[in-house]
Amino acid sequence: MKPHRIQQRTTRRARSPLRRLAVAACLGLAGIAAFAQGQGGASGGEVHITLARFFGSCDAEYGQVTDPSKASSECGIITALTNRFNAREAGRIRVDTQVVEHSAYYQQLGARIVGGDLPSIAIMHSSVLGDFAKRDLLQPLEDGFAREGVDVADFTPHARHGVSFGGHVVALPYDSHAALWHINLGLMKQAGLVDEKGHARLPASVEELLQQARAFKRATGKPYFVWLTLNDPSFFARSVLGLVAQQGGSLFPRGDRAVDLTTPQVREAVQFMRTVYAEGLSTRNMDYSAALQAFMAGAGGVMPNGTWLLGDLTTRAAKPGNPLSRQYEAVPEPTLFRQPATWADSHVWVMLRNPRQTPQERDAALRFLRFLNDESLAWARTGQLPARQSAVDSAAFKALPMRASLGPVAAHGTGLPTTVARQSRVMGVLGDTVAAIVVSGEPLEATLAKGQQRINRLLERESRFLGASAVEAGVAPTAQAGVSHGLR
Amino acid sequence: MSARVWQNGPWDRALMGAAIVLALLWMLPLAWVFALSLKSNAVLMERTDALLTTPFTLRNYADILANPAVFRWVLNSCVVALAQTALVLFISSLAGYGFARCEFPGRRIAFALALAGLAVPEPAVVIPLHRIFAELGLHNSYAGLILPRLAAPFGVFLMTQFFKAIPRELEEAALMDNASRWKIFWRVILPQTLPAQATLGIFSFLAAWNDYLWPLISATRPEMYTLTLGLAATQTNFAQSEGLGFLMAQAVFAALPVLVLYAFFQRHIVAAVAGGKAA
Repeated sequence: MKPHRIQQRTTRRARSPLRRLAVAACLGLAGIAAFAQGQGGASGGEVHITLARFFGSCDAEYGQVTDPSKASSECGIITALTNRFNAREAGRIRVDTQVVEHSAYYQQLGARIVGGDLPSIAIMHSSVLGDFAKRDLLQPLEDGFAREGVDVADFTPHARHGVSFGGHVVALPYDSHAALWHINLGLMKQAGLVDEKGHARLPASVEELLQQARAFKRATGKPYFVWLTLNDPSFFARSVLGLVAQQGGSLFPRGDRAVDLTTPQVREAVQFMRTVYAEGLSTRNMDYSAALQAFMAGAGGVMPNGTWLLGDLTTRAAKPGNPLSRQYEAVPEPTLFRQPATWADSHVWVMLRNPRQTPQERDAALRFLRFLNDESLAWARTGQLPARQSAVDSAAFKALPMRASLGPVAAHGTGLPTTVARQSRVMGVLGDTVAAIVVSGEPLEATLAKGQQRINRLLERESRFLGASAVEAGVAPTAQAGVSHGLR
Repeated sequence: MSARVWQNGPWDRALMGAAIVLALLWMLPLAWVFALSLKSNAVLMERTDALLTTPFTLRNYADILANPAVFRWVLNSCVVALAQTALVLFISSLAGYGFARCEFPGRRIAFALALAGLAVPEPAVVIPLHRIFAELGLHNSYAGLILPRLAAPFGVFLMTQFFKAIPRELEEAALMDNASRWKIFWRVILPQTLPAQATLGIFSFLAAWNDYLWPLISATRPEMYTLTLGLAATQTNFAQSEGLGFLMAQAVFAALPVLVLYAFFQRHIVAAVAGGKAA
């Protein structure tokens, strides 16, 4: 027998158990796959609707909870609310939640739209609604709302403005989330910056703020501000947006297709931030997590950050033995210029245009939206501000910690004009530009001009891409000079 | 570590010392991740540098396992990664053998086209691919998760090169024994390619296990999520600050099967990566 044949036979014998194992594994795998693929599916009778959202999944903790007051965090409360609706509508409607990671959410939603695999309801930020509305992807909801008893007139001005496109209401606003000042009252007292009631004494101008910040640093040896200066362009973009709006200015004074970063208002806002940073009145080299840790450890007096931290920080302040114990308050960002204004955005619920959606599914989805609208006070426990004015004005809302003073934020919230395209990217470039000036010390004028050029190139490309469809969809720019999301 | 190494000169000892230091440095982030996973989220909101101080907790792991969907996601990942690996090995081997050993019209062009796939970035094809699978109704299915990843230009290239290096005499001897092409491929040539198969298998499995983009857009029903997708979906919006311990526990949990795999097949993997044959 030839040597290679002997080797071949030997190899074959040696491998036969391995081969049997491989075949068994393949068969097992195929069986498992077939079994697993066959699982799930809808039961008869009920109308099933799908809810695409972020906020995370916490079924382990709240999977059986139907009382939102027994849940905490955004994830917990929306899970409990969905459970409550499913329990109430058992046998008639079932909401199946499809949770996607926050940072990948819009990527997936875009792919689902392209592939025609559409959820019945999806969450969005009002700042991205324009991109979807211009492509005519959203169902107008005003008729459905009227039928279900959702009172559009009860939406707060910020919320209503954010969901109105081309004369239609294209989403249910769920909240307003805005920038606040989170304050360490212990350090403020040490610096003599509290009033007779024990609240922080807030500055009313840039000069006063700088004086207070310098006095704070002298008294405590710590910076006045805890800033998110690292890997968080949105911090700079939101800050500048609010400061420009306070001066009565706009980043888009000539319509929604060209940003102007050369206005005196923008220069003033950026220069102010540069002074704070250059004088060491803010912390340095901190990203979101580091800044939060630093604030909780008492590293600074004021952390400008979102409403979403209210719950966590209030809970922390209620516990003894940490720098915030009974020494914490949150207030709207102070007015440093002519008028109150602060950056704000909203979570909104939309129904995408779906030719395959049945009238029963649409009705069921609208009923769920009505339910969410009714329960907006439960959601307010997350720290976000309700999108219903009646909820903002209610005693129940004002009884929540710090909320009594936060009502005006819902009225003064501002953002980019709703019809500005690619807002997330625009804010990203704006934030990078301001960070380059404030943190890296790049020249102010030249860097702003470069940032402006980058943003306008982006908008020009977008405009070329869907200019025609915007006109077809009947979406006209709603923001005029100086007017954006806010009430102004 | 053999005693012989230490009996060598000072340079060898220095080299070994440097290797140990580098290995420890490389392991430091992993140890940090593991240590963070044993801390409560509340503690980590205050500070993340106190790794070796109590209290430690297994709560983060318990939270992961308390979600019944996790087991389904593990199962999905196993099905997808194993099936994908097996099929990539099979297809790449066949293609590689064809390109290396069979003469047919257009072979060079076909090989160049296959290799051109290496230069196409994934985002460029993901939307057309998504539309095709939507048309076929294959999203939210195992087929939808597995099939798009079977086109593996790197695998074809690797196997072609490996087949080319096998002496033709082996094949010719089998031909003289009247073996068919399939028999020659399956019985004679394929067993010689175990090192390449192991290398390709490892890369394919890891790529399938860690894949995120395609499952993200193809599997929209939670019951069809893979482990990476499912774990990411459970993260809250500010997990990096408010749920850091849970986040790190997820990272450890997702890596566990790969580590177990490595522990079992360590000998083959090292040999494969080193380009040799496992003993």
